[in-house]
Amino acid sequence: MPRTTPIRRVVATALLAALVLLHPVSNARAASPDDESRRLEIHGYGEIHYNNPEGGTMNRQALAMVDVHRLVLGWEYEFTPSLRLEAEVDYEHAAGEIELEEAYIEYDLGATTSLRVGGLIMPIGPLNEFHEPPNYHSVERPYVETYVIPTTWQEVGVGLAGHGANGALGYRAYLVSGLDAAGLDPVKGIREARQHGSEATAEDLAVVGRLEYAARGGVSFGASGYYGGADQGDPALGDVTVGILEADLRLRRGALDLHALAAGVDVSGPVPVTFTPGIGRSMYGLLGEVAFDLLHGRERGRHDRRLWVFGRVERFDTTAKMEATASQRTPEAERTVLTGGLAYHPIQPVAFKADFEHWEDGAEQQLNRFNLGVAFQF
Amino acid sequence: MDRLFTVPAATAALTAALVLSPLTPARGDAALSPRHGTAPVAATAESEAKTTEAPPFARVYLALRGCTSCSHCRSTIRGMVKGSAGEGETRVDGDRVEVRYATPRAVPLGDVVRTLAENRLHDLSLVDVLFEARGTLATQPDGSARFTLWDTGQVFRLAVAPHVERPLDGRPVRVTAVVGGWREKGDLRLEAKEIKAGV
Repeated sequence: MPRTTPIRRVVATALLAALVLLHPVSNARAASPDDESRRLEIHGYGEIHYNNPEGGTMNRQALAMVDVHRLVLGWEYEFTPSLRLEAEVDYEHAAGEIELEEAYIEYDLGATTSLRVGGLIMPIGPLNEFHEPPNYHSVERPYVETYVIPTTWQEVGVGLAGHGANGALGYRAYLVSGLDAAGLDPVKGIREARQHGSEATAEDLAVVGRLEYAARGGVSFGASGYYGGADQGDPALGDVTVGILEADLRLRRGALDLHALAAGVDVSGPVPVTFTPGIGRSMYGLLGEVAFDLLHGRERGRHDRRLWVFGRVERFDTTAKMEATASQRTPEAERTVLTGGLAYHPIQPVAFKADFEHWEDGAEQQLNRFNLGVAFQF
Repeated sequence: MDRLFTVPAATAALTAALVLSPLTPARGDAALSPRHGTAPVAATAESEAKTTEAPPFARVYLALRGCTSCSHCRSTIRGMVKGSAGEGETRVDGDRVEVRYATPRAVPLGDVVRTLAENRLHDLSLVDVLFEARGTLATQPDGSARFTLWDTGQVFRLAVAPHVERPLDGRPVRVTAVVGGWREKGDLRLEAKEIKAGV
């Protein structure tokens, strides 16, 4: 992600100024329940990290780092009770990088189904859509859902979102612009192939969808799929398609929170993908996590305190299968990460976190990392 | 170099102002924000009534706890309530849902409340429910009150505490009541918080 230019910083500042100026007025108007046609609601989240050593490296000599990793500001503007704008802007690394997370119009076709058009967050995996930091226990996002499912991932498209069974069943199904295979990377997988709806080439489109079901007893299931072209008409890339399948399971009962996920990515086409040596034709990720709330049942009331102790194991490989003709493997692409730590919520939307990561990769490198973080959502 | 420091600093200041402004109650709105955990839904309704024009025929306020801020949670909550609210207009505002009935009609209060009370979303629970409507009161032989919605004939049993001022039976009134009983199986219970005559 390129750093922002001064012009983009000025634009971002002006946008914030407009929001600040409008916000008290809009809130005052929205405070009137009889205001039928205008309603502006502002929300957001953020997280600040300390990493030792810094993330994204297996270099044990890397330096420690602190980072205002992200501050996301979002708003919902209700044109009518059935028509609204949803948008979020992500200021990452102390506003050094700015990214549009989502910007779409939602139109209620009925009580349980809505049409969405615009910049949409991909319904792949449980975290990509519900990525607010108080929703996961670790300081950093799970790495399977960073390198295999490239959270946060958004593309421009159109589709339907809905639910059934009194919210127990949920679905999203979209038609979106496809990935750009020129961004495929041995270690980062499809992460750099995302176009983010930023002057995105749309010669190739993709279909994506997710189905989730919350059964009784705190058990929930989810499954996601994605398929689309990714060469974007570039003859140098050949005819590339990307397919993704994902399944997840979660059990929340009492003080216990169990989570498991499996995801696979397939990059294929009628001609070998040889434009970049070492690209994986198949990628996979597995995740298992157990967490326990040490304060469960001790606090009652509007703002339950929670103290989660958790442990997670992740195994992922972004070059699990390569072309037979590939001359260069990337052993660093095969990684195992063990994470364990604590997350304290004085109230549910705020969390203070500390954890420890142990990394191993296929090149027999090992690294230990200590992380601290504060996360909030409003 | 100065410019590189100036613009991000201004951005950071404005960001802080925007982030902090929802945490600071605006004038007259001290009781309006349940997300800060300080205001019961009843105080919210009373404050809003003072600052608004003629209220709708009926309203249901539902206070929630859990994930209510992200667009996906709000979308799901809105859809669940819409599916049970009949012809009511649903609005999600932070951790509060309002269902409004502009004109006289039967209110599916039980359906609306149970939809959220029995939801299976991973991090959402119903905390408080308030019901407000126009109608008339009638005293039953056993001393209890019966609240009949205006022009609909829909009847609710209403508990009225001695300290609650109560107009004469048969006069048009606006009742604001706390809704209970939704944590258990069985009928809902309404307990009057305020009864205004002629509204």
